[in-house]
Amino acid sequence: MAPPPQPPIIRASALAKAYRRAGGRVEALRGVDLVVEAGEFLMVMGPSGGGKSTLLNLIGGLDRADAGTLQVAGTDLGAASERALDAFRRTTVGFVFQFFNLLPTLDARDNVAMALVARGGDWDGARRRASDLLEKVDLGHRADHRPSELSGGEQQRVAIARAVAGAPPLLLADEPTGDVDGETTATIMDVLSGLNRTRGVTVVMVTHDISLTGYATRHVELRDGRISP
Amino acid sequence: MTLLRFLARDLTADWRRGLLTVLAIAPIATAFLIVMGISTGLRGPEIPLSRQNVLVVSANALDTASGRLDPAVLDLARATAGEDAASVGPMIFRPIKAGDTIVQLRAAPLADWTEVHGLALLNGRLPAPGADEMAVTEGIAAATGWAPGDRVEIFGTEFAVTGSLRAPGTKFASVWMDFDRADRLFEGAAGYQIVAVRPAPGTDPVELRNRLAAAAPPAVAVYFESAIENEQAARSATAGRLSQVAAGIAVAALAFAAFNLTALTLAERRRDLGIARALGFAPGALSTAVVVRSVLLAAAGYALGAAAAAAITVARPEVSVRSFVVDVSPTAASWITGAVLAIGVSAAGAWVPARSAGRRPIRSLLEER
Repeated sequence: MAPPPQPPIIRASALAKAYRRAGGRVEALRGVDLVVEAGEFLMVMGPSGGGKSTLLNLIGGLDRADAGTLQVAGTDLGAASERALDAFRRTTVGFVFQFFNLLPTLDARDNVAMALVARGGDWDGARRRASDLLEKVDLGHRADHRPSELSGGEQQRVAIARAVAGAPPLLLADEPTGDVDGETTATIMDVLSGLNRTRGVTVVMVTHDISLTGYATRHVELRDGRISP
Repeated sequence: MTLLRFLARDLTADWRRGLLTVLAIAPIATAFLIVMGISTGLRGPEIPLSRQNVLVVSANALDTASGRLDPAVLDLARATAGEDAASVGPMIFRPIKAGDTIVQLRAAPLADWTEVHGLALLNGRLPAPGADEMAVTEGIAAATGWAPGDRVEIFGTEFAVTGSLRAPGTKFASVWMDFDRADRLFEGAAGYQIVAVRPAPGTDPVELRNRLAAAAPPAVAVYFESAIENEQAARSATAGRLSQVAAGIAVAALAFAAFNLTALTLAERRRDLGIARALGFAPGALSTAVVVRSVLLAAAGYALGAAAAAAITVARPEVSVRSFVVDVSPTAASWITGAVLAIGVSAAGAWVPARSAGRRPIRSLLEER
């Protein structure tokens, strides 16, 4: 018997978000409709300022939408309390940012361990697990180094290890190759693609690099706050 | 436990910034404690009226030492106090210059030294009646360095220092002479400045003071001993008021520095808070971590500053301004107030911006540079 169909991991409807900037009000999203099935590798493409990062921030619970509805892994992010959003970020999503966003005072191992500690893990156990994860991204030998002692590519691999440390079903990557060279781009994309294919992690990646579309199972374009398939 | 281990790692890794905070708080804590010590020292201990003498002095003299009482005042005081006085005696009270230092010369009949003036011999011996000898109070060590065995020239006569005394209730560095020897030193020209009336046990000191004041002629005033001391202290560069202002400034400086140092440090790490929140840490947990971190640094800074203050005040427990001797050792209340201020305000300095950061969208925290 075929397994029952899974509900979409992301379902966004008429999502809108505006910011106040020095020059006035900027409408980053103007009614985005988006459905992402579990196990997809979705690439969101488009020009800078088109609203890609804003969409990712909303999906990841880093910000709240002004209008519309957004359900991610069964959580209604518009209605969720702050406490529920904290729990959502701990258990459901992993983030990979363009500028890595590693804690500068901690070494690579502790940066990864932090994600596990946030989930309630003990420090020693979290550090052991972090060492294993760093081995998997070929950074076992750099575990004791701080971000300032790592190259951009190495920092991004640490960030990926941190993002998947808690085995979240959804990985959000915001221009993860935007600050690394071509060779490192391939390495990072291989890692993300591997996580999607072998572990079934749903990946939503924002990029404006059209050459990376081959890694995705689907891509959409976000331009002027609206999605075009 | 996990929080403490994370903090230990963070503090170790970020030791330069932590050390800077500690080193910034420490000297302010030292200054706070010393100023508080001086302030407390200037105020001096409060002595109950029942243990104070009632002093009869010239009413309109610029200060007690520049007055001169009519000899009849002594007899009037004796007659007025009657059985309610344990003792009524004259006292010479003059500031003198000894080298570069001004000290007070106090002279009273030797028989009154213990009973009336409460002097206690700490070491050496009391001067012999009529001899060129004197004793010195503890404050003299701070003001002049004189000690028993030294010889000191006063108005052309060399006096031997025979002993050191504890003089309760006075904040002034004083040399004490037998009344008759001092009277001869001034060739009787000084007369005497004070009549000291020691209330008898069981006597109401306020009623006795009022009775003496009522009987006194217009040129004579009657005070409790502490009022004279306080008046002189106030004349020493209005030290009392200044010390209170200085103490207030010290309190404000410590609070201001502790708050802003922690707030500034935290402002530089708002992005780190954003990262931690993106990982799912609750704002409350992060605020706790930030507050504990600040408290640890403030406690270390205060401990360092307090150690420095203790070292300074142990090496120099008293300072002398003219003949006014100030005990600069901070009181227990000052140590505790400083610790509460440094740690409490640092905690507030961390909690306020941490709470504010906790209310901002994580996106905006991550945009901080």
